Amino acid sequence: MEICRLCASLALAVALYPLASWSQGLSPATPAKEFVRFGSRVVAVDRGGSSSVATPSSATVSPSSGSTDHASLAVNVYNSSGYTNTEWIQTAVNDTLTSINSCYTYYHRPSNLLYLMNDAGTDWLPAFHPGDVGAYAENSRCRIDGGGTSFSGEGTSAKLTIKFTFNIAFAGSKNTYVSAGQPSGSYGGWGTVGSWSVPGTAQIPLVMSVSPANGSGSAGTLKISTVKNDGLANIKWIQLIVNGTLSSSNACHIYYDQSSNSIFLNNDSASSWVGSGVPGSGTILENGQCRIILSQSSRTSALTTTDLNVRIEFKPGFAGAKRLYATAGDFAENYVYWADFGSWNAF
Amino acid sequence: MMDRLAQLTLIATFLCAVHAQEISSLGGRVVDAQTGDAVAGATVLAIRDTSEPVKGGPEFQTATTTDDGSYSIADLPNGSYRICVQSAEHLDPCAGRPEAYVRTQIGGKSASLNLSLQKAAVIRVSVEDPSANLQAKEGKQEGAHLLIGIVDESGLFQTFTLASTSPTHRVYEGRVRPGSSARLIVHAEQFSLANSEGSPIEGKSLSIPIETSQEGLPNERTIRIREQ
Repeated sequence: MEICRLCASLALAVALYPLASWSQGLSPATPAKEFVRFGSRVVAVDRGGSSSVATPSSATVSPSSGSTDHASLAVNVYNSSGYTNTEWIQTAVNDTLTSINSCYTYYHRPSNLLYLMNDAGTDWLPAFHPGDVGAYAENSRCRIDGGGTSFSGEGTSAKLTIKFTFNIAFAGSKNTYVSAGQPSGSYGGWGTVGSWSVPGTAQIPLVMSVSPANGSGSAGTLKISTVKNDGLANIKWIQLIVNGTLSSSNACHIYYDQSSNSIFLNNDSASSWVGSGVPGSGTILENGQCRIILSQSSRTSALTTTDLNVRIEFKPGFAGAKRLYATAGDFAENYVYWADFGSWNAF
Repeated sequence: MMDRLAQLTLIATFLCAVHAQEISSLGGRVVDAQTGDAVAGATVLAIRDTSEPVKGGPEFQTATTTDDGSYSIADLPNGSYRICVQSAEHLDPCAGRPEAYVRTQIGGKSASLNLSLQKAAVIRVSVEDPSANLQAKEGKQEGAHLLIGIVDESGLFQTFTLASTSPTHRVYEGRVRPGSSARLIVHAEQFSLANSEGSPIEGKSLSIPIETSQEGLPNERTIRIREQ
């Protein structure tokens, strides 16, 4: 009976304690006690007057397993002090936990920047913002893209989704590791949260993005970014259509041929090419809808990525809302059908 | 009336379940692995292992070591725990590879766990910023970031913590094992870097190998932030 009376007091105290107190921050201004759920109980953690103790995190990844050469992995990090106390999140996809020859990332929440480590594990590649379509980082193991990558936070949960494309050279069974930390640096360590099997077969070329994804104006430079997991040399062609609908007729339809390093422009009736030229040359290709300025166009390649930058001037008669459609193919005649990657308001 | 009775029955069932959960304590001493001296003022964290991650964050308890290095954590439900120790001069067992984590089982009675910590070799980076660019941009301009850390001998990246700051000068610190090799990385987004003599550094990064002494003597580096 006495026990029951004690338990009742405890239960009442728990019930009356404001829920908001569970997610108190750990900034220097916060009190020295924090309330943490322990199974069915809530206990006060004595901070001893120190504000430098970091609260540990736990994490999940979704999907937790898979066997494709590309993946959007959503990492959820939970921290009882609130997601704003998660300053950084590191992930590693690899057979062992190391940054060397790995797909190893670092996300810094306050600056909203995502980094990928280089192959040697000696330096970060240039960072980009999640959501930046056309931005990416690549090493010989994987590529991460800004488009399809995002961060959000709510309550105690921080969610980082990273769009990965794995290189064929990275084939095999991998683990997904996560750690997270606070400004004070301590975090409670790494956890293995999932597994991934990277196939050893060549993938169909993928158009990762057309950027800017939403543009406007009488002229612009569109970047079509493609990836082929067994090497850039195996991309045969890249195509782009700017038009109100997916049609080559009365469109601005270009075809890039990797073998000859040439850009072609379709004619108005889509019956033949008006001409071709090498990116960087002085050639100008023109049909009823647009002009392609090759002197301001280029192709760049690295590892598994081929980017095509095309300078386009739209003619007044082509004004209006257009869509950006793209596709790519390889020498084995594999390709993914046209997809819509964004919009352009021509005027 | 019946509803009221049902509520009371439910509460009683809940309370019995709470009471049935066995609570234990964990205590011991924290000492320096080399000297055996007590480590005072360290924070010991007991983080409960679960098969499923806890959505509000993991369950944990903390205690601060006393002058003789002893600590005591009460109120621990039965289970497996990972033990981390945060000390200014020592390596946190949770900061390295998962294989090195200290784990203990709590099972219905008081448990004892003595911990010996390895002294840390401190790497200190002094950032001179005469024009206060960091203060002007970081946290205010999207994408402006100075990332300082090390890739340790196991290939894991550890961010440095800010040890002191003023508008034109900051000191960052990191800790690694004495007598080990590490690589210091200073990466600047939207800042330009220079070495301690003021000569510009090409690109966005400075990446240099560091060897720490067996005695754990501090390694110090100075970089400068330049106008961009």
